[in-house]
Amino acid sequence: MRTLRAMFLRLVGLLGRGRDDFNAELDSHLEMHIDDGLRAGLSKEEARRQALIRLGGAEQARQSYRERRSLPGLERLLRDLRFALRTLGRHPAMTAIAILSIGLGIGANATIFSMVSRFVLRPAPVGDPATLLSLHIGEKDQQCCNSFNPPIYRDLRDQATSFASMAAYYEMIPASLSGGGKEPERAWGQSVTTNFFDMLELGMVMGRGFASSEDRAPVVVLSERLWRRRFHGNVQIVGRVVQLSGHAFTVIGVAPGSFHSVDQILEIDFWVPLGVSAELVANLPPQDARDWHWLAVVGRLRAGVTREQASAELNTLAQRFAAAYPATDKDNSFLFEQAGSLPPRMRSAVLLFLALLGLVVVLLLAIAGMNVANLLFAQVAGRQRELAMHLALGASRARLRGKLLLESVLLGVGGGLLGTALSVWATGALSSFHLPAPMPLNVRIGDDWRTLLYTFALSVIAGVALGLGPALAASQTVAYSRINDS
Amino acid sequence: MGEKNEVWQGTLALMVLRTLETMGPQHGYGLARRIEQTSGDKLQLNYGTVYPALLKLEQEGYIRSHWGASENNRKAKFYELTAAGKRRVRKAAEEWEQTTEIVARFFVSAEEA
Repeated sequence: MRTLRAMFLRLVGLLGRGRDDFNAELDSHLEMHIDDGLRAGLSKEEARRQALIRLGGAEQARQSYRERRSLPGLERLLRDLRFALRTLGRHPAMTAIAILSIGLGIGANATIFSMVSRFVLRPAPVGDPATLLSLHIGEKDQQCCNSFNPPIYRDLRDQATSFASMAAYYEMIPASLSGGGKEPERAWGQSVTTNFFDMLELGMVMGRGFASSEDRAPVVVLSERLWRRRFHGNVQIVGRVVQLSGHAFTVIGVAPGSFHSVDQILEIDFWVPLGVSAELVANLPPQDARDWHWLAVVGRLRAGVTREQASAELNTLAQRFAAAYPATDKDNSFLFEQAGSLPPRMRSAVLLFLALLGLVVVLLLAIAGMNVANLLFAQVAGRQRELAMHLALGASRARLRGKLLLESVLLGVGGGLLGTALSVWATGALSSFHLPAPMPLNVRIGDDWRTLLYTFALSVIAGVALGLGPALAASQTVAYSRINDS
Repeated sequence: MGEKNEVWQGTLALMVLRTLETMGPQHGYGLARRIEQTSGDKLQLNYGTVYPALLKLEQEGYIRSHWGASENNRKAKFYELTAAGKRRVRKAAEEWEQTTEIVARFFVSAEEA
């Protein structure tokens, strides 16, 4: 507490008040000491000399008082920062070119990274995304992965103890939606088991999710996007009837806009119970066939169960099913990954694509950095006189390196700011690009905190990397004799 | 240790607080002289170190300062204890007693052994 208070007052001391106060106090101290000396019979000069000796030097006293009054380390850093900014300001053309090249390099990196962040790193907006797994059927000698069907889903749901609950859904149902006093529109939805929203732990914006008794009920949950777009955010939407492909459905809830779909790529606008799929899908696969694959399955890991344990149990179950249904399940195995990560079918392709892009933009940044480093080398060569002057006035070579490095870090951070601006523009442009796909896809890429952190780290690293060479070279080659050069 | 002992950090702060408690408001020079006197002139302070110590105590809120006139009518900055400073002195005195008592036991038993 006391330390905090002192810390705060020292921070305030950075602002530089109270310096004259101490000079006055020091003067008064010396006067009193000299008075005492005179009274003891010393001459005025001797009294003064004694007083100064006992003080340990007026300038030293001022120095240690100054250091206590504020935070010397921070003060020095601020001074160096001001100096670095002034130096950069003296060469506006060079500074602008450096910031522009680093900015372009970092902007490209940030844009690619925000894609990585969007498609690879970001978890689905559901309760505890780490325990929510998407399950797949793997078949021997086949490319990964296959979907489920009701019998296998039911067997797995009833027998797998590693999972607290499982839900299944039919991924894509196109429907003609009317209601809300507008022209009918094409909307894409999913039919889900009634525990779907409860298992995702997804709170509703309004109304509720499905009750377990509603598997065959004509009820629908709308997305917040559809609700706002088509129904103008009408708060009395719950209980209203909308038409889906000519069938009447009662709205019971509105799902939050941050939730697009479990896989985060499909843009889903409505959810109906799985039991009514047949009303909306003309050629629904047979309900009880084990060899059709049309259902997606997600499961919530039971608390305390590891993924390895779940995987081991699923393997055992796969063998058991293979023995029980040799005709259909013989070569099946079960796979899973965290829900909302890339679908396994396209995963490797997307990762490879992003990795290649990433490599290209890192190379781009390296080239930009090299150019700027060359500029800095040239500039340092022209600053020998100035640097020699610093050394002559008592700056250590380490301090000199620090100053030069600070300048290049400033360039890097400046480039980072420009790069962030560029990347915001680029991701905006990318997001507004409509993929030529028959169904609506959510490929919006936003700048999230991961991207900002990555960009900041990258700009500091770039600043240090491109300044290191010139700083080392400068501090080693400077000779005192250079002061005499003109 | 030599005839004139060095004063180490932390101890000086306690001496300052204790001296302020017995003397009442005092300026830096007077404090330094008084501390030397109290030590029976066994301590010789570098007066320049007294002021950073005073500043630290003031930043920590144990003392406060104001400008006034000295006994010889010189302008001087006077320091006095705050309520927190008084508590600090009392606590430090207790701790000091305990510490010396404990350390003393060791030396007594060492001589007896």
